[in-house]
Amino acid sequence: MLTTRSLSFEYNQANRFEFPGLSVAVGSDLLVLGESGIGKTTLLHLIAGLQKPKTGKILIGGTDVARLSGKQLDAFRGANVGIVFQRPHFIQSLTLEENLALMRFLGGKEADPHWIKVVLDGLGLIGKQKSSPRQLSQGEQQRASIALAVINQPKLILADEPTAALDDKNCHRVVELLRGQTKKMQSSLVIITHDQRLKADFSRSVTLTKNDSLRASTH
Amino acid sequence: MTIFRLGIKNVIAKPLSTGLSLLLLSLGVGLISLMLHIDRHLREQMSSNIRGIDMVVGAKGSPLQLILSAVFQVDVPTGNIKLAEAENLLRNRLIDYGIPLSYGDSYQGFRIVGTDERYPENYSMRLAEGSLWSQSMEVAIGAAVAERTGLKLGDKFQGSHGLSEGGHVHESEDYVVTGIFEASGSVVDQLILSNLESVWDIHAPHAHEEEEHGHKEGEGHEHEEGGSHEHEGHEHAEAEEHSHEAQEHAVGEESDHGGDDREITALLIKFKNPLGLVQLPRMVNENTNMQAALPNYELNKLFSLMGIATTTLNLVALIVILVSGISVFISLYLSLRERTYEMALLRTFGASRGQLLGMVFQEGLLIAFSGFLLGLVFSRLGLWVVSLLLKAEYHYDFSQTGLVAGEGYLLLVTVLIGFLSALLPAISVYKIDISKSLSDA
Repeated sequence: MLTTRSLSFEYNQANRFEFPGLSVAVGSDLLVLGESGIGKTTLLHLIAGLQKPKTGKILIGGTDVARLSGKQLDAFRGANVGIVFQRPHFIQSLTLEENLALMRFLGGKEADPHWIKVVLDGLGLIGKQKSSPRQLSQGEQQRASIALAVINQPKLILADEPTAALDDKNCHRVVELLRGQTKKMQSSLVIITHDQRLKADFSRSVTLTKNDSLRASTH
Repeated sequence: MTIFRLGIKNVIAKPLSTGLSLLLLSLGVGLISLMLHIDRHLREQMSSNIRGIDMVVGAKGSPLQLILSAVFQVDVPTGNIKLAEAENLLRNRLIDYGIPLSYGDSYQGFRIVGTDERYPENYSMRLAEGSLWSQSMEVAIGAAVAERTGLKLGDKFQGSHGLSEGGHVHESEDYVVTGIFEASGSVVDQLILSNLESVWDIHAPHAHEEEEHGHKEGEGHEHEEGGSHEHEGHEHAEAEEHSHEAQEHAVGEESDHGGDDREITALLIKFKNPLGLVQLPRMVNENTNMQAALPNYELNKLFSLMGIATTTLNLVALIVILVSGISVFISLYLSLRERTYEMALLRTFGASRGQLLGMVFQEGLLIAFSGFLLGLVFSRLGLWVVSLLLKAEYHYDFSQTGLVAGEGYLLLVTVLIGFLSALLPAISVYKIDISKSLSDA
């Protein structure tokens, strides 16, 4: 599903990142671990096509994201990639339901109120459709941001530090939710985090190191 | 949920700043639109009141005052002119006809105007009830007069001296209403019309309070008819002829009373051919004790004076619109800074630069357009209030509230301002760095 090859990126001469290859099969997941400042978020942005790599290939379902640009890239991202951000964010002037409906529109999917209900139900958010994002509790916001990421049934779901602010109990619940949703959507999941607690939950993980290389480990 | 609906929701989601922008914008638009309408109505009203009148002759003084008093019945007259002199002028072959006007009295603020039947004819007045005057002290009243004073056919009333309320009341003389005109929207609606004799009679210098009515009326007629008839002034048939005969006979047949002292206030003159326009005003102003004024010319002068006032007001309103444009800009710009993350989020979920650019323009234009519509509503409300006031005061009809061409330009200006105020925020949205915005939040 996701394959990257010899990715590199540089903000400037002094701030350079190199990311060796990753590969995630359809329906499986991968944990990317790394300390702060190691380029985790940069990697996520590269995969999502939010930034252009200096070199390398990013294949999502056979499409090289690095070669797309402009509208094509926006449309591809909208349809195929879902992102869960570290802190949940929403369009504040819209209700939760409208947020989800807008994301479907942006992803080029047809309007489907029933599907929106199904997703919300799966995340325990039924009854909150008409709420403004501000009115949701912290936990509800976290789950709502997962709903945003999966609403378009993307091929690839990227999560950026989804558990950083959570206690142990909630940390594992969120991971379970993410994996459960990903399974349901038959998507691939990549979690990028510094949170070592998650290591136990994943069969495959890679750790980013300072030597501009990825050390793959399996347990 | 589409980007278009998101744009609308975004505007609604900040009622305070949207409200402020709308208020300023609609205020400016409303003011200008109101000015456009009032200006148009005034011009139409005034132009319709000068129809059939090419030149006004009256006493020396301000030509504008002469026009205002004799045509629009608003200012005080410049003074009186000798009837004999007026008659003389009317012999000029360039003049088609001249309608005499004579002032003196009023009733509850409405002017009593001595004239002849060509005056109502000139304004195509039709009688709703009764008939025109047939003798001295009989009057036909305008629709507004009838409505405001409650005078009906056959009613008697006493005029008070002067053209405003509160003058000396001529207690010995009763006017009788013989006709009521249909409302026409012209100046005649505000007038009480009588023949010239009524005015002369009531102000005759030798009319003493003790003298009985019949005597005075009789004397009045002696003047006009130069004594060629017996005291038969009351008879209808003769009285109808008065005004014409007065003009025809008065000059040269004044022997009985040792000089014709009768005066009128003004003459409304229609030229026989356009040459009159060139020759007559000059001739009158240079060779006689009278003054000639051209309504069209004076009206244009008045409009250009009014134009300064309207231009100033329009400028102020335009500045208000500009300020509202700035307010739209600030509101968009600030909210975009707050919403940078939202924009990045939208981009992440597949929105293109173009879509977001469109959304920002849409928000600016939406406010501009709603402000414009709201402004039109305000201006119509204002117009309605003005028309209520004017209807009570002048019986002028202000009810036409269709769109005027000027409002088309106003729409263009408003939309342009909406567009410009959204331009900078839109550019900053277009240039947004998704990755950086997401990381900074």
